[in-house]
Amino acid sequence: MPTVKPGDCFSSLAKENGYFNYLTLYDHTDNVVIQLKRTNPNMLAEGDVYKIPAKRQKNAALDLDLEKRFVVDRKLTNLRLGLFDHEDKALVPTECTLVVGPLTSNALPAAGLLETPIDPKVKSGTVNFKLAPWKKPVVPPVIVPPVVVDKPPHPPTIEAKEFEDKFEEDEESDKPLEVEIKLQLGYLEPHTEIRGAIRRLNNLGCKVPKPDAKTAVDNETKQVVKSYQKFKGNDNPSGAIADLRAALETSHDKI
Amino acid sequence: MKISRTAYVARTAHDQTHGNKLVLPEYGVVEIHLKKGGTESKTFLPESSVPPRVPKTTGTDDFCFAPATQWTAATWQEDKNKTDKVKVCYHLYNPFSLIKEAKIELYRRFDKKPFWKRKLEGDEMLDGEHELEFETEDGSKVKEWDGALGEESDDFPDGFVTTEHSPYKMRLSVMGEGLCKSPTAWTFFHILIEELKLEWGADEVVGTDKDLRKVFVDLKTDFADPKTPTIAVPARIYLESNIFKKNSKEMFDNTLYKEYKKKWAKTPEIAIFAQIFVRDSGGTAVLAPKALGNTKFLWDWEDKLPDSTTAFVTNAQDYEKDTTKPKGQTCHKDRGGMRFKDKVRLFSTHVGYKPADALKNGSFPFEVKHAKEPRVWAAYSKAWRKGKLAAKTGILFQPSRMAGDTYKFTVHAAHEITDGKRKPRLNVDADPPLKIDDKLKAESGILQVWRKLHFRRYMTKNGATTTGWAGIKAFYEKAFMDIEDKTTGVENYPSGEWNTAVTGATAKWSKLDKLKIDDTVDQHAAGQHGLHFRTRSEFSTALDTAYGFVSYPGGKAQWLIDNNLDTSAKYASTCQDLSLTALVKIFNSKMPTDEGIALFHVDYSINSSLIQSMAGFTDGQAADFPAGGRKKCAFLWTAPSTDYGAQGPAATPAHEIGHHMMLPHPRNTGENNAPDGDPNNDYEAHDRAVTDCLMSYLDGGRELCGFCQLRQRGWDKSKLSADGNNNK
Repeated sequence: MPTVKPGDCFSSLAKENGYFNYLTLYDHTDNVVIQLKRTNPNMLAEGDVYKIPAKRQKNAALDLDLEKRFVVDRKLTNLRLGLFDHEDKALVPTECTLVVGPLTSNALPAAGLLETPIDPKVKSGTVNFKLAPWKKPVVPPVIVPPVVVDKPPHPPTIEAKEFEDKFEEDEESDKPLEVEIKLQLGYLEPHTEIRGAIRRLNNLGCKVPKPDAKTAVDNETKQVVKSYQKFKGNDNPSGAIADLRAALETSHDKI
Repeated sequence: MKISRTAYVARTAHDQTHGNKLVLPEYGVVEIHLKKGGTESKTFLPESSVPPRVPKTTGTDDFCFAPATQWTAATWQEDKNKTDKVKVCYHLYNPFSLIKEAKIELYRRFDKKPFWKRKLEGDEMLDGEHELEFETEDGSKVKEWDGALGEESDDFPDGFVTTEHSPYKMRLSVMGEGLCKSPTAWTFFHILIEELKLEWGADEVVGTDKDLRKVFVDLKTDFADPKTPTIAVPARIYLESNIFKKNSKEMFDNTLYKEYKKKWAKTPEIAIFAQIFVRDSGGTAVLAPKALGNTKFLWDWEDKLPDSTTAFVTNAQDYEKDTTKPKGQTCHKDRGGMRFKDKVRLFSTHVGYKPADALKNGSFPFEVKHAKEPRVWAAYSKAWRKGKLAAKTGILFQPSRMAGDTYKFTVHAAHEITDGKRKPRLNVDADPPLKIDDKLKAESGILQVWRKLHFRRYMTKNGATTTGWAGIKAFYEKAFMDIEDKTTGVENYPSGEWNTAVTGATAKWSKLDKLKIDDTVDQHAAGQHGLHFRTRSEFSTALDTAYGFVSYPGGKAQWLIDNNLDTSAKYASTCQDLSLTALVKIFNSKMPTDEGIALFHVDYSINSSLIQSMAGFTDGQAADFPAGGRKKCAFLWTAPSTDYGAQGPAATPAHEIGHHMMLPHPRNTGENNAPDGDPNNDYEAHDRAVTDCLMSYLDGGRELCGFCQLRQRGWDKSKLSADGNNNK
């Protein structure tokens, strides 16, 4: 029995096996087990077992010298990406390019949503976009003539210029911010899986140390989970990924 | 700037609606500040920053606290439970765990490098507000900071932030992956000196020489608080100097200057300490010695000698008054003093010693160094941070010996610097007072050098008409001399001793002179006068009995002429001369053991019936008593104090004591009209513009002339002119 490989989903499996509608596979009685286990056909876990049913021969009576029209019910597969900032506000790129296989789209997202049909067999792509510079303009200081004082005040006035510590500010912060997101299509496993939860955390902006982790959560990841929990208002974060699964699904999947 | 990320996304089948939310994450610093109670320091962000959360705008730039454990002022002991710990609060925006490195650093002014760094780890880098944890000595962790830096260094000798390098900048910086619009924030805080208080130093810190110790102890006894003396009532630095002539020639040379110089070749030592209080976070002055570090304290002195009411003196004081550093009118180096145009160093340098719970006798505890150009007269000291003198610093003030020299000094917290070369702000060439906040300085009152002499004995033969010492000493106060009454009151010469002494004093008289005294008379009981002589008539009878004069050509009448005894006045004068010589011998045995001045008083040297026959009589004599010497003298007063008119009786003993103090008569004054060149007058030792110096015989102002005043103050006679205009 075949097993799910990274990047597989019923849409891609259908296309790879010559089916035009994933439901032909997913709803097949041979796949009842996986159907019950994975309620979303596009979110499978590596190692899931499925079946490709044998193709059935379909007979149709054709009249000679008459045209007979066969309609192939080829169902589209979409890519739906939501581009948001850290405060959950829709990003407003000035330019945007989505490349998935042969597809190149320069459409700008609408209210953060970038949606386009894709070839389900393609397992990687990129989305590049540019954002306006964020740097706050620095107002030149007003030159104030030195005040003649009889004696320095106590405590002394803080003169910032007397502190010579340097901090390397982002010199390009007055230029457009370029963002490149490499897409691993079909790699999002169900949120009930550790890897699925971790990868959602990744997509939601977190720096996940081991996005491929499948069974165990290390301390570093727990720290990430903890921080995100705190961000979401949990004052006593546990660091347990299990405690975050449902919230991740809601935050990530429901745009 | 380019950000690259990887996203793991799901495809969406035709009958599905789910999607993939991709968030562009941010991280950054929102706030950092120190907090204690209701006060906190202000957070600063770079102008270009766009913090991911809005920082609080409360907080001020004057936040301060008192690091390390404090001491209790009442006991001057460390109280380990007394601290002023503050919270280090910071706020990170890190919900996405993008921060790879976060650090808090401490900077001081004009220094690019941090002197302290603390990396944040684990939960310390979580999103949200934090209070930084610090490890305590027992290994536990507390969310409070007492200013500890973890390790000691040259700049921070006890391992705490100090007043020396204040104000400080505490900066929080983060680095990570992704977008950061607020990579750093900082706050400022101070470690402030709140108050300086002067006190006299401990006795042990001045030299072990008993004279030095006494000067200091006496000063402390007179004024418990060094800041209270005023110019009207200064704290007097008394230099004991009972210095008298050994012979009459010393009135005319420079012996007084040389002897006083020799006596006080050891410069007086006045130890002044400053208590140093630090401001805690509540604004209270507390003792936090470890917060002082290597903070320097600048000690400045000022010359506060005012103009004299005597023009001659003011002229002499004004010599180079505007060119010396600091400006002033005390005795100039050219006149034997210390004031000079450069490097007048009245504060001695010391290496100090390690803080301890007990002081070393005769050793100065604090490190003291002279200031470099341009304020060369000033000095810097450092404080003790533990031991008996914790939170104190001090100086040893060594003024000139010149009486009248008047000073005031000020201690300043001198940690302020002007630039990256760490040049002390206060090291300037300006005249005192320096411009500095009142909290950062403490001023002494007025200290003035005085000569101290002693009245040791006032003795009469048999209850003479005495006068008090106060009138006599008043003549010398203008020369900054205090002649202290150390007598036990007026004493009478015991009768038996007197008669024995008379017998002794007259034993070697000639037969003729002995005839002037009637052996059967009780000399002591005879009256308040010195020696009791026969009347001229009684003497004549005695002569007849003794000599008969039968063989003398011209008889007794011619004999009296030949021996200058032919008139009552001549006889009385001879008796007076005999008596004065004898009285010196009689009183000589009563010369006190201790240093100082004695006054031996009789109402006339001879019986008054004889005095009345003379046109004038000797009312006193600054005799060189054999038992006297350099440190002891006596004045033989041979007139009733009731004989003086409006001028009062004190001028005569004051005048005669002046001779003992090596002051001669002035030029052509009163009855002493000797011509120029007369060795009994020193025309160049008095102010030519004054005729009625106390040392003359003229009534009038009757005070010491300016020249006499300056000589008594210790000035070099050889460098002064009798013409006051030449002394400017």
